[in-house]
Amino acid sequence: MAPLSRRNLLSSGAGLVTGHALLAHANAARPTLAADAAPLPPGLPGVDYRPVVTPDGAALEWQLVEGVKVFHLVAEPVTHEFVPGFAAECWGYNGRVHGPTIEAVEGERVRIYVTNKLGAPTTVHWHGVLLPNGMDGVGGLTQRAIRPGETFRYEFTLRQHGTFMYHSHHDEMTQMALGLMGMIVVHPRTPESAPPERDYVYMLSEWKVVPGTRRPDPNEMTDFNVLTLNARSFPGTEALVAQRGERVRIRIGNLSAMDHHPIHLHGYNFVETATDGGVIPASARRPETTVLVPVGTTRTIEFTADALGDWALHCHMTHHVMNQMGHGIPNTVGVEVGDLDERVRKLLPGYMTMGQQGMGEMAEMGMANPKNSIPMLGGRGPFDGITMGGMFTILKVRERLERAGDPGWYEHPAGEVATNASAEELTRDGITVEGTRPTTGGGGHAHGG
Amino acid sequence: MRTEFRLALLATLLGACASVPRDAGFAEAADLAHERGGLELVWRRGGPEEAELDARVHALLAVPLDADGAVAIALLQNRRLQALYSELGFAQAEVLQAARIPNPLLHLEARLPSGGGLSALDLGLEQDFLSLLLMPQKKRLAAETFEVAKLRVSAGALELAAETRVAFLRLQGGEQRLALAHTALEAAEASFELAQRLSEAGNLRELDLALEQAQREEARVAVADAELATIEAREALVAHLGLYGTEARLDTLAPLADLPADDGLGVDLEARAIAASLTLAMRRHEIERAGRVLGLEETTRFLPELDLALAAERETDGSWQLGPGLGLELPLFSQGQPELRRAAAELERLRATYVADAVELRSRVRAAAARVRALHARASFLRDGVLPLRARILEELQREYNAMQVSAFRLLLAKREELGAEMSYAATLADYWVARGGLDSLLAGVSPAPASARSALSPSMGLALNSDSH
Ligand SMILES: [Cu+2]
Repeated sequence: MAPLSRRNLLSSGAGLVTGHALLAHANAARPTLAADAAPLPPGLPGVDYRPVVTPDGAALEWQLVEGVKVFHLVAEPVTHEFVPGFAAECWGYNGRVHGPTIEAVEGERVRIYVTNKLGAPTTVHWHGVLLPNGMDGVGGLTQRAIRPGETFRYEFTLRQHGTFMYHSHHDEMTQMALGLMGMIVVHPRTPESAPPERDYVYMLSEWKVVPGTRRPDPNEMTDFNVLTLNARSFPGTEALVAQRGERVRIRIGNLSAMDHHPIHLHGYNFVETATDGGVIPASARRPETTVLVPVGTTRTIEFTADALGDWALHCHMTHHVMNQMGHGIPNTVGVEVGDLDERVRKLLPGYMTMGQQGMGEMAEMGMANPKNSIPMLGGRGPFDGITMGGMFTILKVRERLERAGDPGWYEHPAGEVATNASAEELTRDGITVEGTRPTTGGGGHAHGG
Repeated sequence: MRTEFRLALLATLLGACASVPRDAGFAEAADLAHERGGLELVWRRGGPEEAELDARVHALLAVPLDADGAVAIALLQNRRLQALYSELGFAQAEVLQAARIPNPLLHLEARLPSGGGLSALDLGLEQDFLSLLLMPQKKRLAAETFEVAKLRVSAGALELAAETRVAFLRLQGGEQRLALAHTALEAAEASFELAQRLSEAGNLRELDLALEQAQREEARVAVADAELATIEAREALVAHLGLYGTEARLDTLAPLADLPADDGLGVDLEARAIAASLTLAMRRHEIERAGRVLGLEETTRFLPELDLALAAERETDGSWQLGPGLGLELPLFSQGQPELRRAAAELERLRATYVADAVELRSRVRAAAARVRALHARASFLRDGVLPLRARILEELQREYNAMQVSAFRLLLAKREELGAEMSYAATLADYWVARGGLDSLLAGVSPAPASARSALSPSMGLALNSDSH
């Protein structure tokens, strides 16, 4: 991340005095630049803004041509890895799924070329961006679709700042199910406050990849089995990091086909500061621990990283923190199998009845699964298996971050980790424990292997 | 007496020409059976070697029985085959009969004088002289009959061996199927029991429990079917083997031989079967005989019945007169036309039947070869295609099950589907060997009755493929 000192920020702000004069007064609901206003000069990273970080992703490159920021998106088939060991044939942009994050600055003019290297026509819609109708990218409605091999030009002036998205708006069900989407971040020309030290961007999406296959199924309507943050599932997701005391912003967009996602952060409360509609007035903000990100919107939250540790950040819908598990199977919770497994193993040597005590142990059993699948995969934690997958990642807050990248597992201060209560403790506090054996189910022997 | 002396001399002269082997042709029949089918024929006629033969049967039963062992036992123990050997005795009798001079006819006539005194006596000795003339031809007729009898014995032994082989294969296939049906039942029982436990935990609908139970019951029915089929197959084999009592249990059979790499069909099958056919060989002897019968009729057609007679007459006065006599049939009203027509018709019938038999045999050979080819292909598809796929499907379903994509019920059903494929293969393999045996029999010269025991292929595997419903 490019360092951005207060001095730089001040100086860049000073250099934009003329531009600032053209901006309307900050009002989240309306653009800050009039539709017919002349564009401002292009904003530069480290001068006009501190670039965002897209975990597991990238930023789209650009060049300046006569005062216009020029981007080039190439829609094409991409082999994408959701988790090491599990990949699929998707559609993306510029060799990535999802497409790289488009980063720009309020008031500047952008020209975005879109080349179609797919076998099907496509368009790109700039979700939440205020622009001329003919640049809106809705196939059939505001333009004809970009045929395979064609390159279209989109060009408009960014009249607002905020967190937006881009995605195909032609054969949406198929093309979005295959991955044609990405995030747009437009930095304010003049921030109301100092930008946060950490600015992360996430796209939430969901997929159906039948275990053992290699291509997402766009026809799926309800039973999605791969839930992703920036097109990655835990344990394939990159951790977020922050140093103690830093301001952290997380921008989250959701282009899942059918699901809203309540994204929950442990260890903190935070404030939702913006949507893709604009900045939320301070008077309307309230403290939260979970932000619901509906389909087709973005939400931005901010907090100060003042609590050290490894904090879970995940969708709170429990089926969205599973990987590829099937749902059409009988419920075996609480079933007494007795010697049945032994007898079945005479017929099927690899057999065991599963799930009598739930799914928790399955992640660690290491049984053979269909190739190219992650049905039971969870992550490995410092203490034990982490029984979650899907939309799950970790915010790692440390006193100091010596270098970029994952700082490893948090080292807890002595006595600050929950552990087995000692007999003395129980006696001291008058806790008596009776009947600790499980009351239902086949017991531990069922998972003896 | 001179007359006696002369007749005795005649009989000796004629009888010396008729020779019948002392073992009544059995050795020749046995040689042919050995040449055609590698069979060791033993004629059990009592005596000290009986104990040794019984010991051989015991030894064959002491080890896991295979098809060759079963055939060996049948050749030693099957009393119907032994009864067939006795037919050689009847044919032998015919040969001997043909070689004998017909017994002369003695006349004795007394005329009592009305006035008392010595009676007049006529003594006559008549001999059918025509029979003597025709004796060589009749002997040749009997020889043809004897050849047919020997062929019938060889064919009977070869047919018994072939039928025993079929019965053995049916039992082998049936036992394999029964074992697989038992395993399939275990799988169905495990599936039902799992359903019961899910039900006890409150996790399963009554409907799903009933569906699982229905499958278990169907698997039981399949086992019962297989058990009955095995019992019937065992009895069919035991009957061929000529066993009873504890020896009829046949507890341990060798497993079915593997499918050979190619279908084992040779070349020139039709020509070889025609050349080898014992039935056609018998027909040829019958035609030969009928031809001789016709020839005989033609010879005798204008040969009057000629009786030579020696007459002695005692007059009432006590004096003897001796003189020759001649009896002659006058062919005035019948020149033997009906006999001739009958013999000619018989020859025509046999010739036409011979051609019909040969044409039918060619058809049977083609059908048998086609069946061998088709069953070899079917068994190959099952062994090289279906069985490995069923195993792979099971392996993949185990992975799917591990990944909680499919239920344990689906997994156990896949196991039963695999067992079903194995049953189908076992049945096809048995059918293939039966078909091979059938073709081999035709090439060895016999056409055993089509195996009445039904094919091991059975549609009822007790699998209802509908348990994906839960
Ligand atoms: Cu969710």
